[in-house]
Amino acid sequence: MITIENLHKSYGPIEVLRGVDLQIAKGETVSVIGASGSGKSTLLKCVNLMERPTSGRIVFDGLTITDPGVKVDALRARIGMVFQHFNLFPHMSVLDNVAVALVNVRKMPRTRAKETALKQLAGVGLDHLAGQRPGRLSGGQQQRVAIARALAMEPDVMLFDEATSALDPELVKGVLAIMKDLATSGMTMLVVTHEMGFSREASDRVVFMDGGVVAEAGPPAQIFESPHHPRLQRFLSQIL
Amino acid sequence: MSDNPLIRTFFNGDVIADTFPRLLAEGIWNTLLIAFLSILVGVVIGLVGAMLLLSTRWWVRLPARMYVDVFRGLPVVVTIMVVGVGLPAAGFRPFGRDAFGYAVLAVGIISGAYLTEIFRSGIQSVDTGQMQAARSLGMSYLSAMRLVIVPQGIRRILPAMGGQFVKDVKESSLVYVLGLSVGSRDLFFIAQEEVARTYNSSPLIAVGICYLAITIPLTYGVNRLDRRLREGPGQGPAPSGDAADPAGPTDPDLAVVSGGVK
Repeated sequence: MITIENLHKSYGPIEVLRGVDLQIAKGETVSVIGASGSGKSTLLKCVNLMERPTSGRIVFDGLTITDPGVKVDALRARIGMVFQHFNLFPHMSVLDNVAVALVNVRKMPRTRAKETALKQLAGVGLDHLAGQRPGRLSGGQQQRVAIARALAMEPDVMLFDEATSALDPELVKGVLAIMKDLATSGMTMLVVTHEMGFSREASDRVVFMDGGVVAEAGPPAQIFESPHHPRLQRFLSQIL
Repeated sequence: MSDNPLIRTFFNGDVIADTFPRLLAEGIWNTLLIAFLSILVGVVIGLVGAMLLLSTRWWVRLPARMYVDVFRGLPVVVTIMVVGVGLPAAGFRPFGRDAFGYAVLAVGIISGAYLTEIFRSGIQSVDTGQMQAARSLGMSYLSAMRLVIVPQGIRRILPAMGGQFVKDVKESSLVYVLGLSVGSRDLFFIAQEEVARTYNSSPLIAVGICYLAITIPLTYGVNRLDRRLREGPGQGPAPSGDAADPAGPTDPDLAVVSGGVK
């Protein structure tokens, strides 16, 4: 589904990604772990071109998206993204948050968009809050709305950028449960996370990033039980 | 008639009573029309200007920056003369020979310069995550601006915008220098004619009252709109549907946090 080859990204003189190679198969859930500053989030943002790679190649479903002239908006409509700080639209109702892109991007009639949005909200257990403004919801609820908003577009891939990092500990579980369900349902997912429990239980593969490259990758059992790379060993000993 | 010269010259009831019908019959509508059309021109210029100012490319920002600096820096009357007299004299006559169109254009250009900065600050006040979220859903830059950024930014700049609109109404009086023709005379132009005709300054009091009758309600109207948007829907008491939620209190994530959480 996604092939990343020798991906580089620099901000001025600072090189954040130094040649990342990664493949994600259809239906696969890949967790990306690593210390802050290792380039995890930047890698994620390159996949939907929120960040322009400096060099290298990303192929998404047969389309080389790093080529010039790729229709960025059409690409992003196929890739859902969930942010650390939810980024819901505070001036719209919860329902409109989910429906707005269906109308504007998918060109759905308004009534059908709202029906679809309500169904998505029911999927994350929040259809009863459809008429509320996001500001009245807890962080966990907001993040579930954000997931519903991304899923409503029926994306081929979902990107999660530290989706639970800004949540109070007691709210993390609900969001992770939805992400696990999604992973089991066959969604292709790239998940940047600090939740080692999630990486271990819900992902097919774990990628450890260090210094802007993939330092080690493999199934969760291998990464967590018998890590080879000394940096990964140190990283795990610090957080577990 | 009072013998007090101050009352006779400024608060002459007969002259004021005589002036009002003339102001209300023609002047007030033209002032409102000039102000309204200028604000329209200003808002359009301001929105485009703000987007140019926010460009990452310096050669896109440069013309907008120059426009803002020039027209905020020039005295209003100079701009009005340049647009209303200079342009037609130079052969640029999109509105023919009547001064009305040039008056609107001049006040609109000045308003646009101020509104460019006001809109820029409003757009910049919206969290960058909002643009990211909108774009990540596949919205174009313009759609994201229209649906997500501008509606949020506009709430924060409403007081500043209202102030600019009041200023536009007041500055529209300066178009008298262009010599408006009968039928398109604004409030101040008529008042000035009356001052000359009656050798009395009382029409200025009458016209002052007319301007205040526009600007004060405008100010309070904008303030009210500002309050309404601040206290907008969904900010009221806790949702009723929550009580019926079976998962309710057992699931902490489903508990509605009281008070606005950002």
